[in-house]
Amino acid sequence: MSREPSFVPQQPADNADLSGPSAAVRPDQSAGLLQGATLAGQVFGWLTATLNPSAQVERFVRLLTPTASQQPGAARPTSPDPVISLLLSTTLQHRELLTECLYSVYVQDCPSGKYEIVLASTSASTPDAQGEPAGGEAKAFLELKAFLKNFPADLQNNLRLLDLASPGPGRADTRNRLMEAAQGQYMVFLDEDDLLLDGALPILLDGIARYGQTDAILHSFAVRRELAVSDWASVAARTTDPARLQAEFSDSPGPGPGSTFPYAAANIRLEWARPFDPLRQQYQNEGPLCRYALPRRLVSDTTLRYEGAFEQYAEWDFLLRATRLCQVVTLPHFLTARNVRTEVLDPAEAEREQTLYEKCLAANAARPLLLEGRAGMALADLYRAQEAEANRKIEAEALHQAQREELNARIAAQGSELARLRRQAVEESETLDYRLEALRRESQAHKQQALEAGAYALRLEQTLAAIHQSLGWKLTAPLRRLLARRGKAT
Amino acid sequence: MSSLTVQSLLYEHKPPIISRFLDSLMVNPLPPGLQTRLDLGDCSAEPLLNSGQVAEWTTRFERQGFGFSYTFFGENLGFGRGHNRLFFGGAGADRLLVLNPDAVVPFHLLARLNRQAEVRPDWGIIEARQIPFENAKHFDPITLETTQAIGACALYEGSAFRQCAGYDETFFLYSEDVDLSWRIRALGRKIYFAVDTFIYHSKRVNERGFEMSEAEQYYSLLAWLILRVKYGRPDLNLARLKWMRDSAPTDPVCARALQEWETLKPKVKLATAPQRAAAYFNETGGSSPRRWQL
Repeated sequence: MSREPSFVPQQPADNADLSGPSAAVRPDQSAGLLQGATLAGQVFGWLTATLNPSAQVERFVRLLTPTASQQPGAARPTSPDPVISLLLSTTLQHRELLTECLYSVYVQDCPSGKYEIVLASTSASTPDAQGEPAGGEAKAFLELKAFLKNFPADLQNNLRLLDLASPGPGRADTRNRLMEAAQGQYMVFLDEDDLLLDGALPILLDGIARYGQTDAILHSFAVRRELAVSDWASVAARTTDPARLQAEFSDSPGPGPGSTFPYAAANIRLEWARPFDPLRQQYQNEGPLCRYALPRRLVSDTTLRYEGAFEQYAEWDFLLRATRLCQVVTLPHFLTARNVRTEVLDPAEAEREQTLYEKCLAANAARPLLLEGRAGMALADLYRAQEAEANRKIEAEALHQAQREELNARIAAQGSELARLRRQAVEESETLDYRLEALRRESQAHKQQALEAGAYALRLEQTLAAIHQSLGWKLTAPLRRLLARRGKAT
Repeated sequence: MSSLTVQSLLYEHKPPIISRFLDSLMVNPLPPGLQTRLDLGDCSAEPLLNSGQVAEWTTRFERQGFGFSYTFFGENLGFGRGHNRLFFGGAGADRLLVLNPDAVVPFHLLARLNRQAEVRPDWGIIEARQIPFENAKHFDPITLETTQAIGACALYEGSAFRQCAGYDETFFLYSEDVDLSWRIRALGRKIYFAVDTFIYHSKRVNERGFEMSEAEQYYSLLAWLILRVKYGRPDLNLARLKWMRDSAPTDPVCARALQEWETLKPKVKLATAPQRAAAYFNETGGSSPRRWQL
């Protein structure tokens, strides 16, 4: 359950302590981070020459330096499956909230296998009658495992329960272990009092497809659910029949002072609905971490981890350090809701929280902001260039797709034209064949006629020759000559 | 043995949503001492489940001890008429649980709703919470009594439902559940808010509030007007009607609703005096004290 600080955060002192925890690159990874970093190397070179940075800034820049696979145009490894790891730390005491949280994941219209839920218990089992942990972590693990069997099979198939043999104090250690166990390309941290809103995972998947190339942190909006009953003292005073309450809530923790029972929301506000603002975030813990999807490379490529010393501000500190390593992109959608219960702290507790807050603030104020100062701007330019490149690729792909579709349409049109021409050619060919056959027959008939005419001519020649050889022809020869002469004379 | 019927109406729902709903319901252990069945009605243009799917779901539900039936109506009956048709067309039941199929129910829904019913002899309706957005209304944190129940997930006492003749079919969509709540209260039965169980009811929000389709806007406008006329408060409609008339030239949804309202107004059945006494309207014309707002 989230708690609101009951004090006004103070601005950091000018001489703030610089020795706060920070993310550092492991020695065996630093070489790999710098290797092949062309554009980032230029930025680093420019920074070294221009700013003459201190050792801290050098370390900072090394952290910011993208690895080879982050360079524009570099091939990225195949997207791991699942894409999103939902990292959930819980205690058995909060199982009512956990149930709501898990069902808010189950309701998502997201292909099974695209996400995983990694769940770990942050505490020992339910206390026994004496208030002592009954059986310790092993029992807590088994109880949680048995509890999860109540859920639909689809949800269970995407759920991994981490067996933390000896969880450290607080949530920091559990969260660090959850991060190390995550397999997704992106991680989202959930507490039991967080809910995913309808459509959250599809929108995140879309955001990852668009901005995941640059390992950007994806920031979204959240709804604030203020629980209906926060003043349990007055409720308890009005309860006249505890036995009836016991009967009504026989299998749930039920309402009561100190209970984390959900008990409905009295006010629902669109509270955390601002684009990410690094300056604002620097000086004020700006709401729940469930609004951020963080690339897993933040963990696998650096030693960025939760610092247990900051206790309830470990999330804020973690986020501040993470946002210095990656660009933050705001997805303007409400993707999560958080239950909030206002609580009145006693003065000693409030003072302790204030001290912690100031310590966290001071540790982070000493580090340069990502989008502030020349180093930050240079890096922002680098990421902008990467994003522009990614956008160009998406546009080029879209253009190629359009061209492919146009080409396919043309091919299809030409194919149908070709088919038509082929059909026409076949028809014409058949017509020509028919005409050829007719001509052949006609030709044969003509040949036959010619042969017959030739034979007739031969017969006539023979007849003529026979006439010329006949006696009558010879006897009438003088007469023909006479007639020929008379003809010349006329 | 007493009986519990779970009723749900399908209307052009996508297959994954139906499967998700049925899967989530199926993991509920049967409430002890209650013969439980699921009656699914389908108001879509074409059946959403074919005979093979019906047989498969029947087998799966029967394996868990549930009865299962699927009725294809072949027309969009609306919420109230569809549920009435299912309830009064069947054998009836001692308890009726109305559930929206776009919801997901937790594994403890049936057990906890029915337990609340058992410890409260005067119950008429028991409503589960809705997450992530609870309905805006007041409830007493000690007695858990409230003024009305929302039909997305409400357990009705069977005889009270029968006595009221079910939902008022003048309402096509929305507010029929509020109306029935008040009529059941007029019978002297109480409405309780089961805070220890819930349904996840899918709703999307943007910076302006809930995202609503045109159909949702249209039917909610009509339902608002019908409810207030029925309970003798046409005065509460004046501001809404003025706004609708002003918006009508640029808003086709308002224009259509105004046109429909003219034909619907004479058909509204007026509530009796006890029913009016059980109704509640707040100072802005809403039907419950507002507990939260977007």
